Amino acid sequence: MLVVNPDRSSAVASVTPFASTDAVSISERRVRYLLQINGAPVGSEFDQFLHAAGLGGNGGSGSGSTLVSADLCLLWNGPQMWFAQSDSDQAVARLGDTLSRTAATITDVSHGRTIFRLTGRDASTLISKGCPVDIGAMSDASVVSSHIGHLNVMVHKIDAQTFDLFVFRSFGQALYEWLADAAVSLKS
Amino acid sequence: MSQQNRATTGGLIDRSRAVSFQFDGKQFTGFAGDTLASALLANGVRIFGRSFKYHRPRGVFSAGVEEPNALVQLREGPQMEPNLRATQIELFDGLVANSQNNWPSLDFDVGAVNNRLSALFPAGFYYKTFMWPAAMWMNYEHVIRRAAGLGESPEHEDPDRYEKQYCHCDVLVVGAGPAGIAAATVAANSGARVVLLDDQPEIGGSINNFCASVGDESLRNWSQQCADALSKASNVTVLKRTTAFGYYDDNLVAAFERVADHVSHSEPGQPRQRLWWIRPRQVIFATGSIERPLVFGNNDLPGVMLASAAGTYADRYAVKAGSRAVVFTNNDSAYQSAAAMARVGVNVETVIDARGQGPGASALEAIRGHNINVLSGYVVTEAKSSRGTKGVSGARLARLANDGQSISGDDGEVSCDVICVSGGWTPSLHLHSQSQGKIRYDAEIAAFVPAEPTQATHSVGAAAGYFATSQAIMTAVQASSKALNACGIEPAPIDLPEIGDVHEQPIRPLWVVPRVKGSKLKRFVDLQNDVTASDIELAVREGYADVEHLKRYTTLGMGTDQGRTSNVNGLAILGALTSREIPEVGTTTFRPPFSPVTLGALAGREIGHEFAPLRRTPLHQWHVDHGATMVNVGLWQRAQYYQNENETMWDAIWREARAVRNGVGIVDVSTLGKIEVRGRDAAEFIHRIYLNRFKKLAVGRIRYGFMLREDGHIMDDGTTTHIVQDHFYTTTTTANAGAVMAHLEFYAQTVWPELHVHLTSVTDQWAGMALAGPRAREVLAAACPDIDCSNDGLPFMGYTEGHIAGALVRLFRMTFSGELAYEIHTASDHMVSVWETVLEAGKACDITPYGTEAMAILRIEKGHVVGSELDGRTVPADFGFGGMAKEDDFVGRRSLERPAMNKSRKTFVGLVSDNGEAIPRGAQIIADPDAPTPIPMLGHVTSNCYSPNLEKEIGLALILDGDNLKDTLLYASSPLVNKTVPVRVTEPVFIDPEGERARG
Repeated sequence: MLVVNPDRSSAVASVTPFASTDAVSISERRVRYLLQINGAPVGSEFDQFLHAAGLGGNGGSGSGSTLVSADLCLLWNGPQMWFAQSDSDQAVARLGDTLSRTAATITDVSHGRTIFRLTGRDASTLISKGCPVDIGAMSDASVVSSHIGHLNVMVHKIDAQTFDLFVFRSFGQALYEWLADAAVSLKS
Repeated sequence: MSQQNRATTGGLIDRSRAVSFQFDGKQFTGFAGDTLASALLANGVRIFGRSFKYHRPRGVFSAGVEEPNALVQLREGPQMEPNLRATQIELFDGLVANSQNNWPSLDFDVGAVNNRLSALFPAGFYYKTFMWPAAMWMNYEHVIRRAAGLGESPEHEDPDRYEKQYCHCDVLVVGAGPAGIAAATVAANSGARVVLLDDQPEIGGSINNFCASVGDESLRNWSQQCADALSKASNVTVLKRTTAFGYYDDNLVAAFERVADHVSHSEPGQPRQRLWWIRPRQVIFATGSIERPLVFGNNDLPGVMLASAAGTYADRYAVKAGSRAVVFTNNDSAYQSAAAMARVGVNVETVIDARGQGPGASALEAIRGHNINVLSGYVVTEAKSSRGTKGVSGARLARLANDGQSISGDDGEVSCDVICVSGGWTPSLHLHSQSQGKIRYDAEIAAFVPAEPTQATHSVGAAAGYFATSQAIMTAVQASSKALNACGIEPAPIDLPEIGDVHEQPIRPLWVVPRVKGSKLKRFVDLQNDVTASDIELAVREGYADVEHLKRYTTLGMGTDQGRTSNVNGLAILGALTSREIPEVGTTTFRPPFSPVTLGALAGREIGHEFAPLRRTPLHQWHVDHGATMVNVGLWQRAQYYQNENETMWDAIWREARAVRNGVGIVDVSTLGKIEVRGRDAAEFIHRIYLNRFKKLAVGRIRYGFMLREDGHIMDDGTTTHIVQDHFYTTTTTANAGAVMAHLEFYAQTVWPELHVHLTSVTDQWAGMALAGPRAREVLAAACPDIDCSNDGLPFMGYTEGHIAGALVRLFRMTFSGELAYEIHTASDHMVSVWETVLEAGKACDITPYGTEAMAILRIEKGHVVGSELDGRTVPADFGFGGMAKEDDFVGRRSLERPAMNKSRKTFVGLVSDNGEAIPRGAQIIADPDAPTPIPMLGHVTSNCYSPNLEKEIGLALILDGDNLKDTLLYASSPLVNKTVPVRVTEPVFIDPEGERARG
């Protein structure tokens, strides 16, 4: 059973918005679908799955990789585990249909996470104030699960100046406030 | 005073920028580029502080991080900071510093009486001197504790900002002297990611300290060019004013950047200090070396200082350390300092060289033309003072025997106000050693040097025992190339400076100058801790002959300087006293931090509300907006109670608890842990995890269960609901959500990998509320018209789905309060609208939101267990659930079968206060409060409250043989609050023991 309702509300509605600077801007993204795929197929079965899901041939399938199509993004988050991110009903239906023929399961976590998008020349510096991962060494379109401050965060590096930070919704305000505070010392 | 000791030209100071500052209330002027120490010396200040134990006057001894004496209290008010080294404090306009460890003044210190009573304060005096009469110890201790320590801690909140930063690189170079510059330049030119850090404000190290040395122009130009290039390179991060203080596993180097300590105030929003966690692939230690002092009588007088320091003050700061100097050395390096002092106008009378053969050609060349005498084969036996003990006025000399063990007679006195000492150089191998890198003793340079590293480390230059600049640079280039190769990067060539050959005579190790016959003068080994050569002799006599024991017994090597100038002399003296070679004696363990780090930097921004992250439910703002008092439950923020006007806290809590029993209440339970368990073997998996049966739990049904640890004790309790085939929804307690998830993952991944089961935490996906009370069904029916709420449609422990406010809801008929109750779970983003719709639907029933306090009362009234009872020591049988255990295997089963798990255990009971007084929280249960001590303890109170529904003080407890003590009068006694309350033992369920309300 896939329980999805596309309505979204901000996890940081009661927080004073961070004033963007030349150095970095922070915005919240609430995508329509965030799905946890467990037990994804491997090997040739995975390739077939990618093809069926419209994701064939555009990326790796190992640790930290992402697979992107026009309406669906898969983010690796563990062995045989992927995060599916989409705003498209059709893409999610296609994904569910494809995986239903495998041993994988899909769990809706669309409401359970919020995403903060960081952009700007100092976005990686801001992340590195609390994240021990070598952000500079991450390739574009890769993910890593780590922490920022005390908070578990999945970092999706889109390009050198654009990052998505995935965090549990209940910690959304804490992470947002942490980022806003840490950004204070970044000079415009 | 007006900088009477400042030379009219020279130095790296900016004479166009005069800087005004204050020391001990007196106004002074220095220049930009000065340290506090150089500026005070320039102004003729000789006494910087008083010593730790004897309160002897002390002057500045060094020009860097090794400073043992010149510790000051910097700034005032909340930014006041004690124990800072004047040698590292950069001068800024308006700086205020005060001396430490003296009263009423630095010049006249009452504590100096300790010096006259020093016989009472030998090494380890606190272990033996003030022991009798024993009754007086508390008085002695009070006085000793007041006298101990150095500066004062600020008493106000620190207003400054501190930050942390993670950093990664291919090559980290620690130290930006000639070796560090060379290593960093090779790595930078090769395209590697480089971090170069140094504790000084400028790159250059010893090149800056001896910036006027004749013949070093090529080196200075090269250094400047490299520094410029490194500062501009995009692949290089240069961290000035930064000290690497800790080297940890996996090549993690911790560094401490003083971002704004050199200015009066940080820029708005900018940190004062920053802690760096640097993770390089390769580390190059170019940390240099520290000059050792020589140990002789009264060698702590103001005016005795390291030769390199006097040279640095002369060359870098154009400051004369005195007017008339004697240099006392056992190696060639001090001659460069003698020349530097002479260049700024100090009358360098004589170099006393302990070596019979005198200096090498290069040393003689350095002092040529400065009219400096060299007295070879002699030593200084005593620093003389003609004004009490407040400064050097001369040096007494004697000839040193060839074996170095004795002196012959007294060869008179040389008049001077400065004695510059050099006992050789100790490589700074602290960081290498912190990571368990081996060290070895190099007799040729009389020092320990780094041997095999344990991590990806290379020590170069003086840090590796290569003191000549040309050698230092070459070792750095080689090490950098090696480091780059290890990173898979091709090393690039660099231009090198032209440096002439150095012709040196070897060092003559001299660890302590033999005592003049009959002399009782103190010969200080550790200046900061007032440890003398005699203290070491005493420690050895008393059996503390191991270097670690010696440190603890005498305090040698402790304190803010961690014995940088004293350790090697101390262990060499120990070796001589115990007939052991120096390598045999060994060194004490090097531990982080290399130099003190502020608590502010370690804390960073993790202060105030950032100390720990707050976790908020989707209803958080609603609770706040509706007057809830919030409470921390772990990291979660929960509504504790909702206080109306003209209501006390307890009025509010009791009102809420009564509302649930008599009408209907609603509480936010989003914090419960929630786990989706899916897969073909989900039922089998849950069945194995829980104590009770789950395999045949029907779809649409809920079951309560205990999961145990492998040792048989209860780990957590909660419910599991069979949502659809192969799909279960497990709830955990709020506190154990993370631990239970990890527990389940462990079993799924490692113990039963053959099971097809997938686990996903959905604690944040699903928010929840509990609707409880006799009128709960009415409210649910109004809020959720698309389900059948009747007892048949949704029976006790049944599950269904419906819609409220258009949102899908999961409906669980189960109870925590014992009342007719439903849990309504919905996707988090819909929680506010669902909650408000239920409240609207409940208006006719006067629905009451309630908080955690009322919830706790309700569950105690019902005898439900929570973390207070499931404290890691209890088993199901303690609560009467022994029969719940199934015959099939489950986690913890075999442990439950151990005899000790089933005999003489405490069992769960209720308590009612017999005199109406509140039952003390956590009290021990005893049978007779008047029994002679120790009174047998029968058990303890796990929970207590005033029950507004029963109008009694009640509690829950675990007591021995509890089942047979019902109606017995016992006592709940708490020494913590000095209270004993008579209690009568009851059943633990106070309300509706038959459970009719919940099933109704």
